[in-house]
Amino acid sequence: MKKISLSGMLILGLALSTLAACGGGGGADSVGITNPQQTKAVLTLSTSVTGAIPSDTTINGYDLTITLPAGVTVKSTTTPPQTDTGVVTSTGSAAGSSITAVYSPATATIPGKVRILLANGNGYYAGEFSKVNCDIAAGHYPKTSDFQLSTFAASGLLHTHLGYPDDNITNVDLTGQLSLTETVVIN
Amino acid sequence: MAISLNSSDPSAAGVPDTVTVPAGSASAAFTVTTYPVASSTFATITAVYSGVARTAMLTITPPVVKSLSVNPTSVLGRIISQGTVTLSGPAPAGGAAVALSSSDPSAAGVPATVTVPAGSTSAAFTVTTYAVAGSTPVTISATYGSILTAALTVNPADGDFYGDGVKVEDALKALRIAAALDTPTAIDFAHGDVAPLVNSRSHPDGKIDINDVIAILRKAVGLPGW
Repeated sequence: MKKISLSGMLILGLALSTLAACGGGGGADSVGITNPQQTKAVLTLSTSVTGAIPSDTTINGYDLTITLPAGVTVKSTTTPPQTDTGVVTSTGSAAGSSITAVYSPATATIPGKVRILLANGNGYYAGEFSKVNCDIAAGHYPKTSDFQLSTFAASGLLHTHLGYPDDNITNVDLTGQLSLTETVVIN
Repeated sequence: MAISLNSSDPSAAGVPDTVTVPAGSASAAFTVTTYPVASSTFATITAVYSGVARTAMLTITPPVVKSLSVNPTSVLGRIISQGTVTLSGPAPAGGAAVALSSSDPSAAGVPATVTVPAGSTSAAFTVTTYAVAGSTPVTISATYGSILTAALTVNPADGDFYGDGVKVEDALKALRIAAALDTPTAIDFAHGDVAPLVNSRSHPDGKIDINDVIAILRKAVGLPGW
């Protein structure tokens, strides 16, 4: 599992040894044994609270980008390239949220990316919120640490209670109060 | 008998050369044709018969603003309203420069002047509106000889892209724009640039992002919003 504190929305390419247990790597190993071709990678995205979030604040939206390793793609048959149904899903307490994901295929110089926007009017809890289903092309053996979280922004609403349904609401940026975690399983 | 006629300023008031008083009559009517003037102009009309002259004074007044309208009178910020100014008579040579002003240029701007072409009585102008946090009344004024005003209300974004009430489809439209799947038009911005919200008031920031999606989504499902 790799984890980033995204107060600065840093690109993370951390080599996370704990991910190794989830799979990853392939081709010929150090002693020349050929590993089987792996064809799928499932990313589970979660957040955790790392900063002080004011009371009466809900988490309502995420906007993040995942950079994919070479040879890893997601299914997208539309133009513009929205990912196909089921490729990126909302899960956990965010299940049922409005979600859209845009796939930018890799070019000769730029890796492939998936941008995910997820919004919920009521809000959801920190924790797992999405799964991303990726495909691995033959001849590629990505490691779990090759999946990078490029950008992350979290949006929330501060509710000032005037007596339902007359709450006053104010948009708040929660990016600095949440950490994004990506767990990758390759199989 | 033919009576000679003359105008001291034919460019402002023209008369026929003569007017004939029919036999047995003591008077005859004639037409004084006036022309647009930029300022009040006095003309002396003279009638001469048998060496005797009589005069009459005529004042030709310039046109003034007769009406001012804007359409529509209630718009979303960033939507153009069309203004029309009408004069009481044709504009003089060179046109009539009608001065315009707005009581709140940050919500609705107008050009400093609009020119009614020579010989015409009206001209149109554009009222450019801007994103606002709440419904903002604006008074548009036109000055040319007189001052008239027209009322305009500039409204904040409503989240209603499709004009059929705010629904989940509107939130999804905002989501597509936020994800750069759709390129927003100026009208999309007028409808969809709601957020950020501050104490439930819209403070549009010139973009449609995840915050706009959240705000529109809440409105679509009946939760408190803006």
